[in-house]
Formats: sequence, structure tokens, C-alpha cells
Amino acid sequence: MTLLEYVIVGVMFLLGIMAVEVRNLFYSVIFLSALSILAAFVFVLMRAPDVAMAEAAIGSGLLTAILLFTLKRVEGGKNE
Amino acid sequence: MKKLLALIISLALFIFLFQLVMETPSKLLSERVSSRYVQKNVLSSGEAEETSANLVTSVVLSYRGLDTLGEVTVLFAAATGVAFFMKNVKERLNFLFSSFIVQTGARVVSPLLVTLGIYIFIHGHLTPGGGFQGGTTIAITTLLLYVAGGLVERKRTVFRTLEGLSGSVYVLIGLMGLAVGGAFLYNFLPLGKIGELFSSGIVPVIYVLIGIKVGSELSNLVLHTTGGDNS
Repeated sequence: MTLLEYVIVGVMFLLGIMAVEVRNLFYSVIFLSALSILAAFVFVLMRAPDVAMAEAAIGSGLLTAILLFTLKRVEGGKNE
Repeated sequence: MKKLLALIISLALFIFLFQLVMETPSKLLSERVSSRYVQKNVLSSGEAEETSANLVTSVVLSYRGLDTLGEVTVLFAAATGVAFFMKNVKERLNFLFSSFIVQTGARVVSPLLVTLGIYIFIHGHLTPGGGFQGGTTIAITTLLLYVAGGLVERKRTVFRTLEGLSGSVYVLIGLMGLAVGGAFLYNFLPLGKIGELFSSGIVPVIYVLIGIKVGSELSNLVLHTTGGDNS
């Protein structure tokens, strides 16, 4: 692993912890999306472009939107 | 009485599984399936990899075609679950403000995005990507059109028909392989020359079907999550 990969994996680690720990669920979803993009980048560095495309499209694109829609539906978990 | 029966059954199951685990190393590890593929010379084996330029695709669809069918089925079950739970939700999500620029931009970009998705799943056996990636790109187009102010209203029946049709044809191709070659999803079409669009037999056909299925399924899922009219 090069230095770049160490830095990216470190940032991913921090983003994962922040996604769990942060109070506002909206920020949590956004952190998860950022983690997915960085994961796709790491997959490209590891020469797995198939997985990287799936991760970027599903994890970062579609999943974020669906989670945001769901979050809007339940009003951030306040009413339920 | 019931507890005693449950105890007996679980004990029998435990003994059975324990025996299986105990005899696994000696019996099964000596003839693992994977070792055959690990030691194989990929370039001159005369099997599926030789005609599929993207090796991952040959693994996903030639060796593990049945697993991929299971994967698609899991996705179908998930989408059905979302549709079931969102069935009675009447109000529509209209929290997204879209300006004139966003609407026009979505109209310009969406055909290009659909073309990109179709390109990704048609060339799944040649370049990185495949049915799942291309299908998701198409679903993202649906999402973009929704965000741009509901340009995809009332088109859900088309998605549902496409999804059911492509899933059925996938199983049908598998059964045709069973009839022709004696194995489910047997590659019965001519393999062709590596690097050409029409090569590696049924792999591109199945990837196109998976692309259509995943694309319509995820589009339906996005539209169901946004709620409102669920015709």
C-alpha cells in the first residue's frame, strides 16, 4: 500500500465513526455517501473497476437518495 | 412435551452438523473446487474466460450464473417489500425545489445517462461494468428526472412489465441451456472471438437482461419511495 491509500483508508475510518456518532441523521447519511465515494476510489487503486463502478453508483448515488427520502418520510425519527 | 421434541431435534441437528464439520477437512479439502480454478492456465483452457475479455464477467456469469440469478431474486424481493410497505402511503414527497435550469439540464443529460447505462451493460463482457452497474445508472436517471420536478410520472407499468419479462427470459435461457447442454445456464451459443461484441455466448445476453431488470426494478423502487400515486 502506498501513502495515498493509507491516507484514504484513514479518512474512511474517521467518516465511518462520524456517521455512527453524529447526532443529526442527515449528516450521518452524507458521511456514509462520502465513505462510499472513497471506497470506490480505493477499489480503483486496487484494480477492481467492476466493484468500484457498483460502489460509486449504488452506494454513493442511489442509496444516499433513498436514505434521504426515507429520512424525510419519518421526519428524522422525531414523530415515530 | 413440545420443549422435549425441540430439544431432540436440535440435538440431532447438532450431532449431524458436528460430524459434518469433523469430517470436512480430510474429505472435502483434498478436492476443493477452487483449487481446480486456481491452478488452471487461463489463457489456453478453452473455457469461458478465453472469450470474455473481462475476466470478472466470466466468473460472475459463467461459473456463478446461478448465484447471479439468486442475487437478482434477492433484489426483486427487496423491491417487492418496499412496494408493499409504501402501498398505502398517499402523500407525495415534494420537498425538492427544482429551478428552470435544473429541469432543462435534466432533460438534456438524461438521454446521455440512459445511453451510458445501456453501453455499460452491453459491453459488460468486454470492459469493466455489467448489468448491475448499468442498471443502477439507468435508475439514477429516473432519480434525476424525479428531482427535476416529476418528469417520470405514471410510467410504472412499463417498468414492472420490463422487470418481469427480463427475469423470466433469464430463467428461460437457463432452462434452454439445461435442454441443450445438460446443465442449467449452460453456455450453448457459439463463443466467438475474444474482444468482439458478439462473443462469449450467452454472457452478453444475460447481462443485457440483468441490466434491464435491475434498471427497471431500482427505478420502481425510487418511485415507490417517493410515494404518492401507486398505480
